[in-house]
Amino acid sequence: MDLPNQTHVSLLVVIRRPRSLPSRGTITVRVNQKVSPADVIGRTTLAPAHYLFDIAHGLGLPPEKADRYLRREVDERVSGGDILAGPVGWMRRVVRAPEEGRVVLQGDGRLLYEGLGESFELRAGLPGTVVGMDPDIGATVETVGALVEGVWGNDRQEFGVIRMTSSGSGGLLASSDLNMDMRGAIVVAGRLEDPNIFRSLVAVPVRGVICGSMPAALIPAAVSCAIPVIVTEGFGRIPMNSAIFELLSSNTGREASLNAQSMDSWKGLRPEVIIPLPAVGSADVPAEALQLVVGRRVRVLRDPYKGREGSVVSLPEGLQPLPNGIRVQCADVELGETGLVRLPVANLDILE
Amino acid sequence: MSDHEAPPQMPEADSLLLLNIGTTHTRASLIDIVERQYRMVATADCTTTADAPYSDVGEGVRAAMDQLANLVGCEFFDESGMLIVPSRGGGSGVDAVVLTLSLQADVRAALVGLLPDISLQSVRKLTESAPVRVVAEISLGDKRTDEGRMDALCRAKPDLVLVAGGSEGGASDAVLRLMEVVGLSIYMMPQESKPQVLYMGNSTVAEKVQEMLKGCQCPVTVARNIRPSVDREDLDPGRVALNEMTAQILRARLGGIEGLLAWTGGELTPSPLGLGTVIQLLGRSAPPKKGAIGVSVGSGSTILAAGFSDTMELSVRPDLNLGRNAPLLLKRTAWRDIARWLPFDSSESALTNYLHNKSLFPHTVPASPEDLRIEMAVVREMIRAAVRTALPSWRVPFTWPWAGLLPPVGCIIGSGSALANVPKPGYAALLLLDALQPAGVTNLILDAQNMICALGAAGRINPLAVVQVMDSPAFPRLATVICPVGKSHPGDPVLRYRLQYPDGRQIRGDVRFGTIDVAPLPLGQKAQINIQLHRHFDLGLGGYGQGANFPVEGGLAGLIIDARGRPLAFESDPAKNRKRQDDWLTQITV
Repeated sequence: MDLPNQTHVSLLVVIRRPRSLPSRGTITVRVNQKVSPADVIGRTTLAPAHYLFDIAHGLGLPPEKADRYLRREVDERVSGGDILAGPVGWMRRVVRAPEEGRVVLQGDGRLLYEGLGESFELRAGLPGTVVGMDPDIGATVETVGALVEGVWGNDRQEFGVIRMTSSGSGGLLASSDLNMDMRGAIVVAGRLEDPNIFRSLVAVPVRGVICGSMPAALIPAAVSCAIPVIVTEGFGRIPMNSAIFELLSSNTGREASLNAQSMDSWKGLRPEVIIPLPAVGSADVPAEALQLVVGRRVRVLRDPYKGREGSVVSLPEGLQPLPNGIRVQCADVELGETGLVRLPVANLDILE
Repeated sequence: MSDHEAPPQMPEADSLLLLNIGTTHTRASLIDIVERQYRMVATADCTTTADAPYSDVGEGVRAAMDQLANLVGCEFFDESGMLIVPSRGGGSGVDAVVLTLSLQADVRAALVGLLPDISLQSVRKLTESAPVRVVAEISLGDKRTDEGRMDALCRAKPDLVLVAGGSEGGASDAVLRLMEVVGLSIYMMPQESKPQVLYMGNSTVAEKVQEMLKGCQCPVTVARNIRPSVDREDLDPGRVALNEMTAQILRARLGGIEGLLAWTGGELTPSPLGLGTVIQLLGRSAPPKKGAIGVSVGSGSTILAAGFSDTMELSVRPDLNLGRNAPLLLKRTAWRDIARWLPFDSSESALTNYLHNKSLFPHTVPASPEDLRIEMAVVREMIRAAVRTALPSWRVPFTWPWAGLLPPVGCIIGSGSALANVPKPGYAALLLLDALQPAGVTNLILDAQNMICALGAAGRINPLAVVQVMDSPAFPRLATVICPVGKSHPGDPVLRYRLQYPDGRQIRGDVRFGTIDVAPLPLGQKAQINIQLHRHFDLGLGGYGQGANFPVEGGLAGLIIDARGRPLAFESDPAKNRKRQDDWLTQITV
């Protein structure tokens, strides 16, 4: 039994997103606090350097005597240049902290010291309200709006106004299509192909780009690009599916949060576009783990018909033969102009 | 059976439920006694539900078991939803449950050794036998300061630290100095992310090492020294310990696994060990100077196991999979090497896009003929890449004359959806022949239900069931293959054969170089073959030109004579090569 894939293309839903620090630190917001995308909601330090001091050697004493000259407690915060041990003798020999940090362990004439490391700031990433928090690790921000999930992202985040390019859902975005009206905007395009397009986008500068597809060969350029890049369909020449294209078109001029995080199926993380909207009527959290039933809107994940959208007409019982001869669980899908085609259930993605 | 013969003793655990949780699919198989033999009664599968939004592997297992129950008309659960163990009359319940895990999860390993070319190299080799990713390496020879080594370990955030160093009775001070660095690094890691340590160094300091790490509050396992002397390597105990520790880590990460472990008495076997167990068994029972090979290609990893007499080699390659890491194949092999297996023109960008799209949607299946050929070409190169790396370090207790080729093997077992779900058996046979290029006379076996890993794990409970199921339709013979070693020109004679059936019928054939000949010998049918071999070719039957007369058994794809030569040569003209790919598939699926 194949459980189908699912992608959210939701017009108005309640979106809750946990934001976590990469290591324990301090969360600076409280529950019910309103936040903007750029607000810092937590801080920590990363990759601290470690120093192992031979205090006995440094002070010119045997280890058992050197311990008497230790000046700091374990876990004590120390500034760079502060004395860790000493002074000893008429030369007033001392061991000093190489940078701001803390004493981790000391004794037997030795001392282990940890520098402060690089500081890291966690931002809210979307406008909303803090609805939950773990004091040392992260907070959950809630907003109401439209949600579009992508399939690939370059691990960057930004917030900006959505602008459609003239390329349409299947057209190619060329550098010549970019203009000054797109400054500070999140640009939506059918496809990318030009290896220099990222340089052009940064030069405008735009705040992010959402495209249907791009060649996999552009991945290194996209990864090193300073703005977020989200791909909605896959790699190659696949137009953006009409459901996503129409949702983004209808929100042209609105602000959107672009989180081009890598897909992590264990954690349920996908690159996503969140467009905060005024809550009109009742919005609910997006439906998960939907079953494939007749009438369901789906898109095709693999050749032939990759990227095409349609609706399920019937679900034949048992395993069905495919044109290549293999037998799998199938669904009959109405694919617009192409008509009715039989496709493996495993190759279908429910759009909801 | 005469009146005086006692019936064979059947073990207590009659029915076995095999559960295998894979990266994309979870499978459930029922083994039971049918006509006094253990048989795999049925298998059912469901998408694995380890990922969000389910985050509970139990859901996929129960769905697969529900399907299985429908197929065989039995009940596994009682009214309160509890598994019925042991089985009751009327086909409800099972006597024992076996659980294996072949799920790909990012298990991070840091390697620690005294010398980069000795102990560290052995640990590196050990990691190839388990689904782990190496995130850091430190050794006394790496020219870093102790602080640098500590920074490297802390930044790597390992789940496992694998330590080796010091031969038996050899270096001990240096080992302890290195362990101090390891201990201090682990001491500084947050409690919730402290790694497990596997110590496989000089056993004379093992107790001291455990004592040193006591304050770090991390679990420490000690296995036999992986490098007891400079010129001897002993990977087996470390391999078992590493796989068990990997399973423990996965166990802690997987939602819903505890409920399943209650069914197995806490036993959970990593899939590579399951495959290794079966191959070791087959290697021991192989004809003299022959071994056995098993290969499984899945969305989590490619596993290659080889057994020769008492040795077992295991290679687990999470970097070669049909899932998230599919694009890494292009770092192990050139795109042209994939394209050479295709009967149509392809390009670097098309294959790169294909692999990246496969990594986004690992559960998808090829729906068009072209897509199927690409997937099979990718699988060929994944197997070839795994063999290329593993073969040089195999401990084969005999010599063989074919340099660069596999040692002679009595059987090759192929496992994975890409092999089991093919339009015709010939597709799977050709894939194995192309990827492994066996030489001599070999049997190709198909793991038709993708359950060989779970079956191997069942050996712990019921070895007889493993032996009998291996000999059942769940593992059909794809073909007996006869593969002469040698080179010639296309169309030149390679061998002449006469196949004599038990009813007296005979067929004769002349096989030409560059072709595959399939003699009609259906599954289970036996015959006698007489081979006259051209002097430029060797079948391992006594030298070049030496033919023989020996019994053969048919398979799903018949009796295959692969006269393409070894090593397999490709046409330099791409158009001719593409035509050859089509010709070979046509010849083998005739």
